[in-house]
Amino acid sequence: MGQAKGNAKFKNVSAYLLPILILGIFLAVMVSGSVLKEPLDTRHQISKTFSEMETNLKEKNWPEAAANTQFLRSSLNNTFKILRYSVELDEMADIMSNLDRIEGFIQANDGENALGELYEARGHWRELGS
Amino acid sequence: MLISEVHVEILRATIGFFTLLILTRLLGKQQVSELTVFDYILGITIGSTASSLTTDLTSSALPHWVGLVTWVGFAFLMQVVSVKWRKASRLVDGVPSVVIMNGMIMEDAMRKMRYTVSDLLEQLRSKDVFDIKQVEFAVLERNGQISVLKKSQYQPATPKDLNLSTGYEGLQTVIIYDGTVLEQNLKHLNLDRIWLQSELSKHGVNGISEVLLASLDTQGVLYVDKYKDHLVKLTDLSD
Repeated sequence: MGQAKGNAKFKNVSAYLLPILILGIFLAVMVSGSVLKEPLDTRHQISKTFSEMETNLKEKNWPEAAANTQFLRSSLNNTFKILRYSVELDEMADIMSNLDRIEGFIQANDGENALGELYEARGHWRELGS
Repeated sequence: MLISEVHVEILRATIGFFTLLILTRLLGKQQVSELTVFDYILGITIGSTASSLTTDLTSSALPHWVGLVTWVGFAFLMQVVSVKWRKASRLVDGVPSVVIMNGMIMEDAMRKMRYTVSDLLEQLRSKDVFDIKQVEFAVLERNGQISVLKKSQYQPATPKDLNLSTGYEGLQTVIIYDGTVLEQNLKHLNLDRIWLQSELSKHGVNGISEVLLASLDTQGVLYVDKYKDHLVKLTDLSD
């Protein structure tokens, strides 16, 4: 009798706890983007590379700026693998398009347009997951 | 990009599906036939939000999820308010309206609800009432269905009217479902497999796996339906 009562109590508690736990996990997955963005930014030096690229573009150091673009592309790809479940895919795609255009402008030694694209890419990165 | 989108879609569909499942369990067991117009629209909105949570990848999942939870939260709140406060319930769900009273059509009440005589006749027919003279009362319920009380002379005779004695009916208990014995139900009836086997053999059944459904009524009569019905000719209802 006591065991049956205990089982019923466990069933009652699990009937509430399990859904709350599942919803909690879902919520954690969905907010993980904004939580993980900063540590990933530090680990993959994304903001730092944006700043380096800005300096290189202003000083017209084209090979260094091109290297920054390659590095940034690889860093962002690694970051997006983790962030993609909780952030806007469009923002991610926009950043990659900006990088493509920056590469083109660097090839053409067009610092002004490359800088404009860089600022837009940085804006997308800032908005990502926020 | 395409492959990563598929991963994201699957994850977001999982979140949407199970969130919807959990939240609709919270909303209770209201049947579709009992839904008011507002409940119906509410259901569509909640479903649509869950759908965009899965497919709208231009925005993150969180705002959709929060929207979904908020809508269901409000629906739940309305249910609680309706149960606790009768006046609020009248405001939220509306009230039933009498459309036929003592055999007379209530035109003013019908006009207020934009309910036509054709609607009334149609719904009466769906209740097997083809002659409006037979109706004492008709009530248009909150879900749009009509409830009809026929005049006493048109109501079917019951065993009580005929002074016939009747026994207790109760509910049947299913003992075998799809070839599997429901041990819990058998135990609840204080019966065992030996009894079941002997009863089945009386019905010409050799093994439990031959039975689709077996249920016991409160009079102790066992109903058995086998997978093989051995019918010579099946009734065909197709055109």
